[in-house]
Amino acid sequence: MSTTLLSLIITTLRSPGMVVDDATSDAQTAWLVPRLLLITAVGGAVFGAVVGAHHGGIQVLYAAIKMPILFLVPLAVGLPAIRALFATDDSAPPWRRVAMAGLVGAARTGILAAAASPFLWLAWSLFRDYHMAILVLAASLLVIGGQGLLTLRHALPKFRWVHVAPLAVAFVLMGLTTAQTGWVLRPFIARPSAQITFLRPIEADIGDALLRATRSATGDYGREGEEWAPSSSGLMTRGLRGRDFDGGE
Amino acid sequence: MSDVARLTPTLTAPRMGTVGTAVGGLLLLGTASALGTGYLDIAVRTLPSAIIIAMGAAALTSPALLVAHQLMALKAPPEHVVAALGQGVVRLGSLCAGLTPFIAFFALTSGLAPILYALVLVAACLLASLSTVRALATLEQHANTQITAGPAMAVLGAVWVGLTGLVALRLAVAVFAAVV
Repeated sequence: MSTTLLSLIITTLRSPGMVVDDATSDAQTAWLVPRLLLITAVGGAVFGAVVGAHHGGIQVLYAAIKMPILFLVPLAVGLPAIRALFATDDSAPPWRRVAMAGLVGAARTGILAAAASPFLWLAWSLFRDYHMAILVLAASLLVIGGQGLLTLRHALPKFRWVHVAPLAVAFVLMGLTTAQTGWVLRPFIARPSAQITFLRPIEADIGDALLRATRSATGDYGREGEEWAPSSSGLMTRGLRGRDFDGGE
Repeated sequence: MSDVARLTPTLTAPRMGTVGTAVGGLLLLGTASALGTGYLDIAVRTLPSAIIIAMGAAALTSPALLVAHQLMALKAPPEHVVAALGQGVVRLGSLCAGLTPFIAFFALTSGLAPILYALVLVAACLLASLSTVRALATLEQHANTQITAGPAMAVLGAVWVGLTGLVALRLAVAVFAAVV
């Protein structure tokens, strides 16, 4: 059982399942939760600051604030699904265990993100191009976040082969949610010419954006004069409208 | 043997309240997806789509499973088979309820909700079907001394799941045509 913040960090890295197993009582959970959140927040903030350093200025602070949120929002969205996916024929894993596995995963991601920050800073020196920087960030988050996602398997009291399919679905759900959360919270890496804002309007989606960034990074800017204008989408921007059946919208 | 012991208490048919919760889960998922459609009329028609597709397919094809089960002279009591099917529907409803925040998040922040709704519904149906087939096979093994009984039921269950999937797909096409 971890007794200090340092020992908790070490246990989270070496055997995350042990941290999940430790949270059996209310007292132990109350000790672990704030510390895991703190580790996630600090690790995410360090990583975010380095990400924001690609543009510099106030973007360093903005990205440092938003990155921990990026690590935690997917938990709130994805944990009910994970619990439902991991339910067997006669029981579902306890909420406490599922939530702790998620929090330990987020903390693990935070620690790895902070440790990877110097290498990302080095990458910014090599890839100044905006589109390439986005792809490097996406790849970094994939590697770092993947480790956090693997921790979710500890939500299960005992792993059995029948859990492979639910686990695969859970990975896809959490990956998609994290990617979309990142898109909603953007910019992390601001365009060189852009006016810096804390959040940009919600428009298009992460799949569309990554496709465009990949094309731009490989020098494919589409037809001459054609510029990508992200379309508004989602209930938060579009709302629900009635349709005019005589003349389209 | 441990699987049998674990499954035995679930062989009673799910209570109406539990089935109601499962239907609620399907309705919740449809509601979350409806939020992302962008148009009020489509949203209203999308609301019950998960219930129509999933419950419709289950209701249309469950009698065929029971008939085939009797035809093949398998030993598990029919009421236990019905109970296992009921548990499968409950599992599907719970899964859909758990997946609702995920679809709601994408409905609020992106235009991907309708696509993800379709994928999530397919994945939930597959997982619930796998769980049901496993339960049916264990049930038959428990009721029969022949070692081949479990695999025979598993094959029957797999064929039934495949045909149910096709019926669900046909229903989905009809629902999609009605919605759009």
